Amino acid sequence: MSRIARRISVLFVVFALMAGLQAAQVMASDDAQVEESFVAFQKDWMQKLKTHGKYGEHNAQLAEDKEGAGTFSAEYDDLTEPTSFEIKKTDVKSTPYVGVIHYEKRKYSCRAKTLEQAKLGPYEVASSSEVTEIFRYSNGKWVY
Amino acid sequence: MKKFKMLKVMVLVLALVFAAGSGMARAVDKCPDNFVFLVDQSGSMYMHIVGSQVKMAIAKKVLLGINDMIPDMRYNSALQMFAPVQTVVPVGPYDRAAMAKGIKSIKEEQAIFGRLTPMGPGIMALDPVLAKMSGNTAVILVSDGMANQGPDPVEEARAIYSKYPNVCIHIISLADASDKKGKEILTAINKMNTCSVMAEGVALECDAAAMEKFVSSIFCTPKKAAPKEEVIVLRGINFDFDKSNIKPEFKPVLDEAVRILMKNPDIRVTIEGHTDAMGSEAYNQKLSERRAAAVYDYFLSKGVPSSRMRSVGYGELRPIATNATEEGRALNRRAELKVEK
Repeated sequence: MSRIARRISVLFVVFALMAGLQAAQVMASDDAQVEESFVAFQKDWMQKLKTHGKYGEHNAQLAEDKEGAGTFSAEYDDLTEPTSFEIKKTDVKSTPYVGVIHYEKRKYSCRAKTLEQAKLGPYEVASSSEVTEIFRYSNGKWVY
Repeated sequence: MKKFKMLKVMVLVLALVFAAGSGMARAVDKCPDNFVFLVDQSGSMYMHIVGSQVKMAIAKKVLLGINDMIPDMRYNSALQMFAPVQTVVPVGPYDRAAMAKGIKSIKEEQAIFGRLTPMGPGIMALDPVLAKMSGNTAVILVSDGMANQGPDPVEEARAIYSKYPNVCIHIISLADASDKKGKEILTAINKMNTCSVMAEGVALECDAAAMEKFVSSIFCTPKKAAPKEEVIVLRGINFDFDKSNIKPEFKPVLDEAVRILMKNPDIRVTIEGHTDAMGSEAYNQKLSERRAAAVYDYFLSKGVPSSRMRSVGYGELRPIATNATEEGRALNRRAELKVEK
């Protein structure tokens, strides 16, 4: 190969590497933006669940026990903050990322001799669920 | 007639004032989040109970026995002494071994004479301890009640109840037959609150059943660990109106669920379809069944065995949010995988 041809090849390789690096940087920047948006989305999502959902002590359901004689129960559900999250890239153009949030949903319960006493608590965790929610990222936003 | 009416009103007002000021504490019938051993180390506690051992030796044995029996739950605790005031185990998360060590460190011998019993100040000294504790607190007072210095211990107990309505003072009495005044004081403190339990120290020392009853009257039996369920919620599976076909943009979410199922071959799932409350209940029921079945078919096509899944529709019957708002309705529209192990 002539000296000029060799030099052109080297230059070509250098430019290709630079282009690749730039593309990688753009992609990394996209990934970082998507991750940032998912972190913000999670906070909004949990707030949305609590605002529109039936969670919290103020939503306690009161009922007379069927099993115990003359006792009453107060129960409500509540959600923890997310314990972890993941974002994964996909090969689907319309949904380039999925995001996964993990949190716990807990049922709180209090049993007492009267409805009023049951409502006052104290409540204990009667059961809990490990919740995994999977979202998709489409057209620049997290879809639910 | 007017005078009689006035008299009735005055009597009523006086009765109300008396009731408000009588210091009758409201019963605390709730499990303690904290407990304090409050032990009298005055001179009289180093005397012998008639026909028995030194009172403090009995106190230590009883406290060690109680410490062994306390249910395995989270508490904050402390071991305080009075006459003189002394912190043996400071307020902190309960550690059974550390508490036992603290109890064992209580002196077996001290001078008897010239060491009076400021029981009132001893109870007052609970204030900074209780201030560090939140929730319900059980105070277990171990004493012969022989208060002979300082403010009235009964009034100090009343002041504690007034300031800390979530406290209950239980009594282990080491007053013997001759300690009439001591018995009266301890009984008066016991009767101040219906939550309070009182027992004779000598009885607790020799009767394991009595000790067990004493402990179970104060502490709650721990419940079995709450069972943990697992649920995977699929979001963004926005089927077209009245449709149940899986669109390409849904597949990454479904594939992530498949990945979880493949990673956990022991689990079986129920695929649940849920709708909002727009439309009739019957329509939503059928729609949710079709959509849950569509997810089931997709999972099957991805290699999840049919033996590990079933699908069911719940329509609008299991909302997790209000259907009165669009946001709430969006939260209700979902597919869930309930894990059965």
